Amino acid sequence: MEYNLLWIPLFPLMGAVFNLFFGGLISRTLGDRVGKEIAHLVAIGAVAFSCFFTFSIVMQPGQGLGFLHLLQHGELAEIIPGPGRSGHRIVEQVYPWIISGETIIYFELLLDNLSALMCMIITGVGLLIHIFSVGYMAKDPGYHRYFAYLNLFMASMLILVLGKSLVLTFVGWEGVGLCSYLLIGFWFTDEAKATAGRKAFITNRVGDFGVVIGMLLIYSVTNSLDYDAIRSACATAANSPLVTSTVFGASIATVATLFLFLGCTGKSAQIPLYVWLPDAMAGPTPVSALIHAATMVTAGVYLCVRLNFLFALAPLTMAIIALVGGLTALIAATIGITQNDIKKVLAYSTVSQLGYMFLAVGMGAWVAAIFHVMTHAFFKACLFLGSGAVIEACHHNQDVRTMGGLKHKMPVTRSTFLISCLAISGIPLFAGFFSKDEILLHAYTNASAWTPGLNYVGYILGMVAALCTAFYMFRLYFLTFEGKWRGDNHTWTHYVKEHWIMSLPLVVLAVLATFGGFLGYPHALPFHDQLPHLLDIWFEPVIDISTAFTGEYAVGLRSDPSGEPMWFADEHGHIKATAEYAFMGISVAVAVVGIMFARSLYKDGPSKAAEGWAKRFGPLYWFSKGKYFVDEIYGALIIGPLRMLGLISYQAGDQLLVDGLGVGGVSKTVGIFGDLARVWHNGNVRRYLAVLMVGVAIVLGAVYLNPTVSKVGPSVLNRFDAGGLRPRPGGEVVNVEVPGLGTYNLVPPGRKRRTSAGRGVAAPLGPEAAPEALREPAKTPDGVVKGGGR
Amino acid sequence: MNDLLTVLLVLPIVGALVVATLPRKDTNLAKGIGLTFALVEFLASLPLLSGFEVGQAGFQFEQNVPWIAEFGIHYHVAVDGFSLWIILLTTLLTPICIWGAWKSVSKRGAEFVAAMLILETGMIGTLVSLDLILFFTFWELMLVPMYLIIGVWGSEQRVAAAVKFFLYTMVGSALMLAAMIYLAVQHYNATGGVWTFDLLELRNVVLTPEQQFWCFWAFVISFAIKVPLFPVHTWLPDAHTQAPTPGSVILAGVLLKLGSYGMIRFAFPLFPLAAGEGAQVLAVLAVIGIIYGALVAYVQDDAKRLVAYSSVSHMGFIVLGIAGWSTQGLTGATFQSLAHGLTTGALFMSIGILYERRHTRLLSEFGGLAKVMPWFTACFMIAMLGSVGLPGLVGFVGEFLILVGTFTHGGLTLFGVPLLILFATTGVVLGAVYLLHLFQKLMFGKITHPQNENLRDLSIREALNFVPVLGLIIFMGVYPKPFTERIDPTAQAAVAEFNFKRCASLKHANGTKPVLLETLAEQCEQPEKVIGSVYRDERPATRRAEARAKLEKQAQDAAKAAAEVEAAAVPSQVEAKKPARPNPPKRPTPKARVGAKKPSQPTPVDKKAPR
Repeated sequence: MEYNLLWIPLFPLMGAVFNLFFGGLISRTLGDRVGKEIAHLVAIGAVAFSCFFTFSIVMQPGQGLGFLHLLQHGELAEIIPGPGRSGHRIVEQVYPWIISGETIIYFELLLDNLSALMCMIITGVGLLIHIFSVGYMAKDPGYHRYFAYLNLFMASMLILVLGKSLVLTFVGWEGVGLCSYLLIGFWFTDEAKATAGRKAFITNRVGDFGVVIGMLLIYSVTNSLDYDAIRSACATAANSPLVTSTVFGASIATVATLFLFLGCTGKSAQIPLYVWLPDAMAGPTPVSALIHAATMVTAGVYLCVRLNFLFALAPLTMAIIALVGGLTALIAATIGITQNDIKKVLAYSTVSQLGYMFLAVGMGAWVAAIFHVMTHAFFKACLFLGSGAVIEACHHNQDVRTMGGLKHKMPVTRSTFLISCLAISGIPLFAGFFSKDEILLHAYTNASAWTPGLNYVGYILGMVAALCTAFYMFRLYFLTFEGKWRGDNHTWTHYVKEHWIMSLPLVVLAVLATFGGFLGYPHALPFHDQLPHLLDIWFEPVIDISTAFTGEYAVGLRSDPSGEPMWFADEHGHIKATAEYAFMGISVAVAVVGIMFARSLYKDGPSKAAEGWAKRFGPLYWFSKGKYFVDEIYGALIIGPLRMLGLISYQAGDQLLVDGLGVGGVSKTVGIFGDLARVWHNGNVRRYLAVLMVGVAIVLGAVYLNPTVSKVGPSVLNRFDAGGLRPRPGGEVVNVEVPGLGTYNLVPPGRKRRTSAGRGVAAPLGPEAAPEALREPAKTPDGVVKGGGR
Repeated sequence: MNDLLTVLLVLPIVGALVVATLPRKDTNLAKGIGLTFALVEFLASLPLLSGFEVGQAGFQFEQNVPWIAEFGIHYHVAVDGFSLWIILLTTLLTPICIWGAWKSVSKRGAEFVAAMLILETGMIGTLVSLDLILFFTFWELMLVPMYLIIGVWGSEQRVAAAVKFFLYTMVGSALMLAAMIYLAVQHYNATGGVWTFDLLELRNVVLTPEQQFWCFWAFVISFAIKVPLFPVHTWLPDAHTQAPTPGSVILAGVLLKLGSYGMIRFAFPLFPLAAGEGAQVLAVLAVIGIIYGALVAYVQDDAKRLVAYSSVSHMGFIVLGIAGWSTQGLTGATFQSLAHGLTTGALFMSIGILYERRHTRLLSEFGGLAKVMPWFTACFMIAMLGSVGLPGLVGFVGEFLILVGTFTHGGLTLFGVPLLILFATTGVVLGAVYLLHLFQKLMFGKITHPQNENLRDLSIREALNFVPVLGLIIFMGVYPKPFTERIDPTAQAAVAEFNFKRCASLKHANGTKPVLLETLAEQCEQPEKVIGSVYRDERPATRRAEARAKLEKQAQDAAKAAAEVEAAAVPSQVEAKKPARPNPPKRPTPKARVGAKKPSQPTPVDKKAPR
């Protein structure tokens, strides 16, 4: 059986096109109800197809990637080689896309173990969220438009992860950005929401600028943007052309990865470009779950892991990524503590969790990063959908201060929400525990020779952020579901009941958030022989090159400079089980402390104690609640000046300088002379004649009253008449004296010659110089014989 | 088949004559006949596509008939990869414009249609002429109908805008004509008495560096005004704003491209040495234009003016691609010409539709249109996203090729590093800023003006007008191969020829009078070796790596030598330490570059050296 990878993104794309073009028409002809049925059936069908297709290829051993084999036997299955299939990957070339000169960019898809896992997450979670949307969007007039955008998003995201070259990934990268823009501003009649969409798009574009520059830099060395080409260029580590070539005073690998990372900070909402994500919550909640939590925002992490061999060659970039990731994790978490909008809390939580992923990337823990992408997709999608259900139930109120006690009204939502909160806080056996613990473990143990001490910083940032995470998640949970109802009576009695179509995805996601972590079962725990770390095995072919790097580019030093193993490592370089237990213990303790603290403050709604704490940390609390005023700072420093610059350019540049002084100045000058001349041209023939006479008198007077002219007489003119303008010896220069203005030397043509300075000057008067130049005019140095020399 | 181009040139003129003889009253009849002629013209231009041989770089559909034989002026027309698609764009846009103006142009309809048709002949003629005088004739022929279209059928300040347009262009034309005649005279001198204005013949003359400099800038200033390049762009916003919709569409769609086309066809190949040095200046101006145009576009409150400034920004990209003079850059520039023609054309069409309904172009008069005009919004959005350069739509392919071409094929740097491209790429961000601003102001938010509540969505005629343009915007983004594969061979040949002639010019740099190319041919069998060090060198990064490797090797050799010395005699410790220092100087590049540049740069000292 031949696989056609193109179908994976093509199905959702066709669904999108169908709904965009015919959705409105069908609604109008067949009625609203039927129209909506058809719209969501088409959309869900398309995603279901693509989901089925993905899973069937990925699961199947033999001709597929054999994920099932991994689950059963704990080892990788080889693909039976065939057209486009070899090793652990399936490649499909669709058509040549951009061709010019030696630049050839194919539309080429690649399904390897990395993109396979991403595709499963995207189509799986995407399918659930499509189903949830049927309930959530039921009453919206833009129903078919919504599903069309959602399908378009799926197609773009799938192209992003399936693309075999950086350019194709960029296609998806921009495509998801567009869908994000469309879906954030889905309710476009609200100006604020439309602005939020625009902000997301433009902020992302700033990042995309980085991606483009990164692409160009890589291309300038490898002559290709194909991942395989970059991979083979990186294989030689320190001798790779990417490392030996330099630009801006650093290696191409470093500069290119820094620019690519700029793109990642845009797409994946890291400092300094994270500001769009909280605003993106203006979109419908399922969109927040799918795009702004589970899939699109992890694209940056995907890109880094996809190019792990390149990033590993840039220790400086890695250090920056780790720092930015750790700081983002912490700062977003501290903002999350003080927010009151249920979606805003989740948004900052997403920013914070993405920070963890980048911390992992920066420390070279590629598998841990993708592992966290996966578990985060499960529990964060579940949290967002849960919040969607809550918002729907509370008549689109999002303020947790006016909620409470909802556990009686929505038991399914409450239990799935609780499970996800436990998962994100890192309570053992839930999915988040395994992935987060792995990240923190690597943050500490993956020290590199290049940046000593960074591991401690990363670990501490991650730990403090973990404490905050546990606190704000349970603050959210207690405020929403526990305690007493604090809102108005009408909402409480007329709340919107849970519907199976919205509960089903919640339950599935909660199950995944509970058991998904077992794909990355740590080595130290019991039963490891029966249940190995499956993802480590699965990703081996993806990261084999970067793990083989040594020296400067190796991550994870297990011994200090003297050769002694670190306290956490044994002599083989493995991490000791006791050390792993210690790290787990600390993580769990921190999580429990956070949860208990949240319980003590918010068990029965906002307590006096909570206010007291807020007062105690007055300025900090104020800063956090104002989101550190980053938006305001950006507004004052970037957006305002940009507009100002535009205005100045327009008014000072275009209107004043170019049009006013330049073009306008020229035309005005011409106009003034025209006006002066016009006075004379008044049609009075007598005056014309009079002026003519005066002119003639002046000319004649100048000639005959001039002593020089009258002295030389007509013989001067005779010098020129023979042979046209050819001068004869002795007649090189004519002195013309103009009364009152001095004497002018007129040099006849052909007497100019070039000197070393290249300027024409009068030839020296002398019998030696002149004849030589005149006898053979064709051989004069400048060769151009003027005045009939030919 | 050889007469095809002549047919294309004559057909619109005939149409114009027919329309002009019609009774004045019946404007619809005139428009109908004009539209028919334009459509027939479009159909007649299709064999150009089917008959065009893919993979061939040279001229096709060539026709060469003496015109004014005494001065070697010929009616010499042909098509190659650079002109093919722009001609087709012209024949496609003209019927769309005439049909689009069905309602909006009511007074003097017949004259309007006649002007459009004459304009079409002028544009096609400019694109197919291979004779300089013929080119100039068509170049000027274009000017008159455009002047009339702006001046007669424009908005309030149409006359001022038309005069500005005319004067700007005339200044450039005068310079160009002077350079053309000068060039022909030089050819006459070099060949010893053969008059010709044929481009293919004139290409064989190698001028001295100084002559190249003056001629190059005379041509380039003329073309730069047409493009328009910063800082001679100010006629464009006025012309666009005041012109009627079809005028704006044709202006943005085709007329501006003739400037960049002229650079590709004439200015660079004729004067390669001056082009090499001038390219840097052009590139800097282009990048300033990209950023400046975007910034100024962002603060406009008139929708049409905003799009006009976006043209300044986009055309900057095209000039940047040309200045890079690489295969990708030229292919990209030509492709981007089409892209800009389609997207900006569609944007002007959209704004025209709004103007027809509301008789205003002010952004503050609109808002919330997405609710009442959903199909219009969708069309506008596709055009806007194409203009922003979203991958998968037409704008991305050209921009990407231009950036790749200019970035990887050295030459264009600022302070020795690719800063220039870095600045150019910020256009990607700024483009999104002003276009999304425009889109939001028009489409999103609540309807604040009651007049907007009952605006009609697209009529069938308007929708049908959009279909081909938007279809191409999507198709060319998804599958650009049929387009690039026809441009690319020509671009490759142009680069090779440019390098060859540049090499010849360098060999002739000390010459004092023009000579024929063939006398220098044998010195330029491998032109890349000669010109590599001056312009269009290898990618800077690799060069730097090489320089670094060389220095490292030197250091190693020194260390080796030191070791040998050490082995031979017992040296003092200080001496042994010195050469073993592992760190090579951090930035070897500037030195290496300067050193490499020196020998072939024409310096005053060189001029004295014997040839």
